[in-house]
This record gives sequence, structure tokens and C-alpha cells, in this order.
Amino acid sequence: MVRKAFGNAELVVEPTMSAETVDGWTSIAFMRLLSQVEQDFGVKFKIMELVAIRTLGDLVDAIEKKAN
Amino acid sequence: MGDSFSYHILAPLAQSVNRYADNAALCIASTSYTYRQLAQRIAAIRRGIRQQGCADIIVALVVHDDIDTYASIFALWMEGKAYVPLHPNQPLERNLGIIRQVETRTVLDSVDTSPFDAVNTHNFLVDDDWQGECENWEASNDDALAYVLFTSGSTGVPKGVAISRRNVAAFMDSFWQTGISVGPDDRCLQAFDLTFDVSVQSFLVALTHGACLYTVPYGMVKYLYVAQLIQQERITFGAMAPSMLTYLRPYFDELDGSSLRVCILTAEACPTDLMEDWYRCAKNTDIYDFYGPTEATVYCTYYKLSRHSENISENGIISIGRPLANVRAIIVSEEGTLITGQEKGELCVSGDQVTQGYWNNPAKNAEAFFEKEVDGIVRRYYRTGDLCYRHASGNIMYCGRIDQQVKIQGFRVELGEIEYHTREYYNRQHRAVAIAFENAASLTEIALFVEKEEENPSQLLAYLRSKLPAYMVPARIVYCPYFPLNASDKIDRNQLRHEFGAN
Repeated sequence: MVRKAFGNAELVVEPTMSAETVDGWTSIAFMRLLSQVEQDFGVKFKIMELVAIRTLGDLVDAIEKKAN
Repeated sequence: MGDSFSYHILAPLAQSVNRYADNAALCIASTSYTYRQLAQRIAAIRRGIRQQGCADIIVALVVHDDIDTYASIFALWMEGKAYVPLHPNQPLERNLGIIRQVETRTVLDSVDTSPFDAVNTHNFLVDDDWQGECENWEASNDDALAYVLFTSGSTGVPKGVAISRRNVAAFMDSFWQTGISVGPDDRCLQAFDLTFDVSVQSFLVALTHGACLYTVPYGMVKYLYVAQLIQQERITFGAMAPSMLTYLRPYFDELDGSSLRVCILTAEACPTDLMEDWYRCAKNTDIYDFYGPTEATVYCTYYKLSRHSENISENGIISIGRPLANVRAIIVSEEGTLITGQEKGELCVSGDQVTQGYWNNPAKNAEAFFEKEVDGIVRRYYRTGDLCYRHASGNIMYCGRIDQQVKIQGFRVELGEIEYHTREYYNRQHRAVAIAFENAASLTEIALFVEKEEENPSQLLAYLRSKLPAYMVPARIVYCPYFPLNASDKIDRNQLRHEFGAN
């Protein structure tokens, strides 16, 4: 999902990844990833929850918190 | 020789420093800097320039999100110099190409190990302890350059727009004549890269009036950071691209935009329906649509939206309104004749905001500028490349680009530049066509077609990433063995677009 959103099939996906460390982590890529995440996990984030997400690990934590 | 640059920019900045020394001037990544601190950094950098001496008039400035970058702009201006911004996240090769074009040997870069050390002969940013005050704020020469901005060029080489101090002063004068005001209680948004000229409006409006400027750090998802600033820092004034609001649109009902007093939409066509939704969130906001090419210094025309009555629009796009005070706008036909009715034609602008031309580019200058007599006066006009017509009300309506330029997140993109680098990658063995399309969320993305058998595009993508800014790298790459041709034997872009399923 992350590779597809960021348009990089060889991306090594790690929890510490952030907009600072990944070239393709743009607004548009993040939105693409987010809409896929919301669809697949059946969750919906509020804007202030998204503001707190800085790394991929943060996103995973946020999904787990929402899904439970 | 007048000195309107001092009057509109340097003297008001000095006044901000004198009156509001302990107020915050900048808020960068949650750290505030007072006007006194900003003035001290300006003074220190000026001292460095004077002590070391610097023959270059144009100085390359690596634009980081830090106080020294903003202080450098003013220090350079006060020392009679101009800046050419280099974005640290853009490919080094592109930045080195810009340095070569302006022939400077001075690069200001506030990081410890600069990739530009090899081409730089000075370092003005070392003096961290200097506590002196700024002196001689007011001296300036309107004919001197203020900045040179490089924009996408269709031949693959970025072209530099040289903006003089007179241009910037005329723009500021125009801006305040719209009736918009900013003061020391304002918290202003700076959401544009410093390589893009709306940034000049953003920082000048705030810093010349004692307000605090809130920047967006690199390495953040911009729309989320802006949402946070609007809601938590209670931003009162801000310019943004409509695509920023398109990202935020799903959250308008939960986002608190009540602090926003003035919101300027710019850099892209402004959709009516987006604005109607935005009003529900920006409850207390005066909304303006500002239009302008870099060549005419930030903005040329503006339209103030009305909350309670219908706004003038065409095909769902809000009017770009009327010319600013120092701008004269005409619409001309393909044959170059003045259109006085409501027919469509190319929008051309003249006045003190219009650049003297592209940097070292006589061919492009001959194409883009022309003299024309209108109402008995010969003036020099810039061809904007924008297709427009004049509404019965006198407002100007924007109908799209005449050439192959598109806007991605507000940035000007010549599709030809992407096509050029793709052809270079394939040693000019294969043709390439880039088209812009709207994705499901109504945001513009680029699809690249290559006339070639299918292959894995990852190497091509890596190559393009090394040559182009991130916003120009295509979202999709499609290989087709043969390009469709239209009736005049040109590549049929519409057919490609149709097969791709884009609108």
C-alpha cells in the first residue's frame, strides 16, 4: 500500500519513515495512502489526529487505536 | 532616480523593528524569533558581506526554513544585492545550472556542510555573536535587482525572471491599494516555497507591518501543518493555493477557521464550489482571488469574493477580477489586435510591476514582450500566455493556458520540460508526451506517455527525480508502442488523454 501510494515499487518500508526521510512523501502521496488506509481498515481520521502523524509508525499506531 | 523600494519595503521593516522589537517576527517550527533577533541577524550578515567584500550583485541563497534565510534576503537588499533562491530539496544539478546561469560565485547556505561549498567563495553566516544594530536601512536604488526567480522552461532549461526593486515596490503599493490591511496583532501564514514569488508577498506583508510570520517547515505534509497552524496558532491572514483547500475540504466541518480574517487564493484557478464550502469553515473571512505571473511581480489582478451574493464565474471558475493599481491589462487577439468586446484573447499586462525581462535570454524576451499603442500611449506589455475575456461587468475571466503550461500545486510546470528529460533518458530514441489530468480528488497530476514497448519505469522515474523538482515527477507512466496522430499529423494529445481515461 505504501509503495503504491508513494509510486516507488522498491521502497523499503519502515516505521520510522516520514516526509523528512522519503522523497515521494508529498501531500498528494499521503492523501493517496490515507484514502487507501481508510478504505481497507474501515476507519476515518479527524484532521487533528492526522496532524499528529509524522511517521509511518505513527500512522500504524493511529490505525490500531481506531480499529480497536 | 526614485527610491520607492525603501519607502515601501526597507523603511517599513525598520519601523517594525523599532516599534515592535520584542514582538515575534517569525515563528518557525514552533520557535519564535523577535523583531530584535531578526534585526541582529540582518546586521550580522550585512557585516559579513561588508568585511569580506562581495563583487557579485546576484547572490544565490539556499532557502532553508530558518531565520538566517529570511535575514539574508533583507541583508542582501540593504547591501545593494539581489537573491536567487535555490531550494535545498531540488536536484543539485538543477541548482548548479541556475548558479551557472546567473554567474555568481557567492552562495549563502545556513547548513554546516553545504553541497555548494565547491562553487562558493564566501561565508557571511558565520558571525553568530554579533549583537550590533542595523544601520542605514533606507538606501536603495530602484533600478537594481531585487531577486531572480527560475521557473520551468519548455526547452528543458529553467528560465530566470529578473525582478527589480521598482517592480517589488510597485507591487507592494498595488497590494495595499486593494484596502487589505495587516498590523502587529496579525498572525500571517507563509505556505509558499521561497522559490515561488507568492512567498515574497507572504513575508513582506507581515514583516513590514509588525505581524508574525508562521512558516511551514520542510519535511511536513503541508496541508496538515497548515491546518494545525490555522486552528492552533489562530492564523489571521494567509495566502494559499486552492489545491491546499482541496486537500482540507473533507475536514472543513471539523476545522476551526474562525480566526482567519483575510484569505487570499492564488497560483491556480479558483473553483466556485470549493469557495462555497470554504466559507462554511472560514466563517469570519474576507476571501480574495489574486492572479498574476512571476513576470509581473506576484499579482496583477484581484477579485474580492462576496459571501452572500453570487460571484462572477465561468465554467465554475471564479473571475480574476480587475487590474491592481499599478497594472494595466489588455486582451489581444491571435493577430495582435486589441479586443474591446467580450471575445477571448491573450491577457497582456504593462506597468511598473512588469519585469525588464528574462535573465540573459534575448530570444525569449523578444517572444514575451512587445510594445503597443493603446489609447494614444505606447507601453511595453508582457504576454501572460493566459486565455481570458472581459465579462460585461468589466471583470476579467480566466479560461486556461494558451500553451503547454500547467499548474501543479500552484507551481508552474512546462510539460515540455518533463518530455525533454524523458527523451534525454532514452537518448532521443523515443517520443514522450506529458499530460496533466485531474485525479479523483480534483487535484492535478501528470501522466507521462512514452512511445515504446512496456518496461519497468522505476529507472526512468529515478532519473526524472534526479532532474526535476518532486512536483514535476509524473504520477503515472504509460508505455504505448505507437502514439495516435491527429488530422494534422501531430501527436494526438486528446486521444492519449481519452485512452488514459483522464478528463
